[in-house]
Amino acid sequence: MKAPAALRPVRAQLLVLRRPAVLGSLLGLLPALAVVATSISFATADAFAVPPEPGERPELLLSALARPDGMTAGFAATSSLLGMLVLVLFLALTAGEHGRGTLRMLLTREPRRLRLVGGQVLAVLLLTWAALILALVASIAAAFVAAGLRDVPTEAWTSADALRAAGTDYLRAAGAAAGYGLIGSALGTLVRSVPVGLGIGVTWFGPLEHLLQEAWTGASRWFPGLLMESVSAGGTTASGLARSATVGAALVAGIVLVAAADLRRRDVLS
Amino acid sequence: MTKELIVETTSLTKAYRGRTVVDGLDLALPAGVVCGFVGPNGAGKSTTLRMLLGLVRPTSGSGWVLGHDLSRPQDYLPDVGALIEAPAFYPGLSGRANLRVLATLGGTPAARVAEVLERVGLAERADDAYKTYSLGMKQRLGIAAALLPRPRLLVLDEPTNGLDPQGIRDMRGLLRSLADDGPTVLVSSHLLGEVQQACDWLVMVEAGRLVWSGPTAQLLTGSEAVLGCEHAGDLPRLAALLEARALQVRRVGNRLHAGPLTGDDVLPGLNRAAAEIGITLSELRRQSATLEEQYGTLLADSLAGSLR
Repeated sequence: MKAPAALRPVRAQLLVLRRPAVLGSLLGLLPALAVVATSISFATADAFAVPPEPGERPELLLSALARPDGMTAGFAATSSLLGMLVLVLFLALTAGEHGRGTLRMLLTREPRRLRLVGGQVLAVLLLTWAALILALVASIAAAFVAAGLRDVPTEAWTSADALRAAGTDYLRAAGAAAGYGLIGSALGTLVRSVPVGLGIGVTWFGPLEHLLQEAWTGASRWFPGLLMESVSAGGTTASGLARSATVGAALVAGIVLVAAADLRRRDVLS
Repeated sequence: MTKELIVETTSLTKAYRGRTVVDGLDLALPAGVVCGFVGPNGAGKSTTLRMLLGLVRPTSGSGWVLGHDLSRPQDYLPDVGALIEAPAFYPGLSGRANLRVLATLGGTPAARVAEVLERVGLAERADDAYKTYSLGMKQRLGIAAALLPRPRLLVLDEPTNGLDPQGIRDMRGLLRSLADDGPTVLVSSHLLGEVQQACDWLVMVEAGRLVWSGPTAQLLTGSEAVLGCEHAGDLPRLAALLEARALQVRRVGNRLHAGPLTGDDVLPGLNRAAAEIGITLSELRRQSATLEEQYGTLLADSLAGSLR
């Protein structure tokens, strides 16, 4: 059966993503990172609380880990690392199409540029969301092991509340991943170069936003990376979940619109 | 009756930051021809082909491909196959997988992949990673990709670039066999000898402008006489005789080249006229113009015209 024309770019990109290197980096690396982050979360959880600075998440307490949402607290804590990985992946895939010249080959078969690149991004996003499910499962498994090692009670983790909390954590992480992915794709489209895009993206969303956050308290309320961190963490003291999601989505939409306009108009010369 | 035009452009122009790369190009490519698109480096060939494929937006002018406006490539690209510059595929995927990606994207049945791989002689290596292919194999995979949609128009940009002589011969044979299947072929190339052998229509461009367009045979009808004298000292008198007959004469070693010849019975007349003034010819033959010579002449005329 022939796929609807609008879905062809998604199916074509899924064929491209079947490469072991891509599948390995997504379906292997994300769960591995989630396991490491979960282990670190349990290992460094404190018995007593210290009040957080504005924009910071409250640190994990052993008592909090015993609550229903404690099972996926480690998964939620991996958000910034996972976000950076997702950003790099989307950016590399999008800019790589320009650098390799494969975009011009693809455009001879699907000249509607927004449909082509939009479909590619959607395919990578679907795979990312699948990888996040694996990461969640791996994180939960690691949490049970770590709970045993630190004597954290796990009775509450098998309740309906725990399941709901896991679902919520997943949806937040999936939303943040979509934001990071769209920004990565938009950046890759605009700069059309993997090294340049990585330089800009990793610098801004890595150290720069966090350094500026130290100097300006408003950074936590307006910078896209910090807002997405806030979303995946369920909100911070500086910007709650609803505000972070709304402002973050607006910023991502703005960046995507600029990239889409550029994609439609700019000549394909590579 | 007017022959169907597969590609038509009117004053097609592309400028980058004030530098005009394609300058008011008027093209008219009839259906069914194998058209050689020739011109020096930087003449605007690749930019023109990219405009025809919707990759580059014209600065001004208009064009139609397969009867559809150039501004709507989605209307005609399903019937166009193209290989622009070097083939570009995913290096980690096999040749077959790369073609599957393109077939899926274009809505081409998967069975077509095996057909085109067979057609370009890549069936045996189809499951090897693209990055392990030789340059010739990469070019053939590029041609296979262009053939996927059973194109009515096949656009090939320098398909012999970087190939060794055997690869060029193979590619020439492939092009001829492709043309036998019926699509109109538009192929850009630097190799004029190859173009002369493979193409029955020519478009010549220089500095973004059209220099000549028409059937290859029409361009190559011009021929010249090659004359040698028994005594080299007679060459100046022979040259004067030829010039008196409105022929352009140039000396190449101990021979004179005179042209253009207009009829089939010119050579006997020249022989008699030389004999009448006491010159014995040691050589007298007709030599057809090569594409390379005509190309040089046309480019020189074009350059002189632009300097005037």
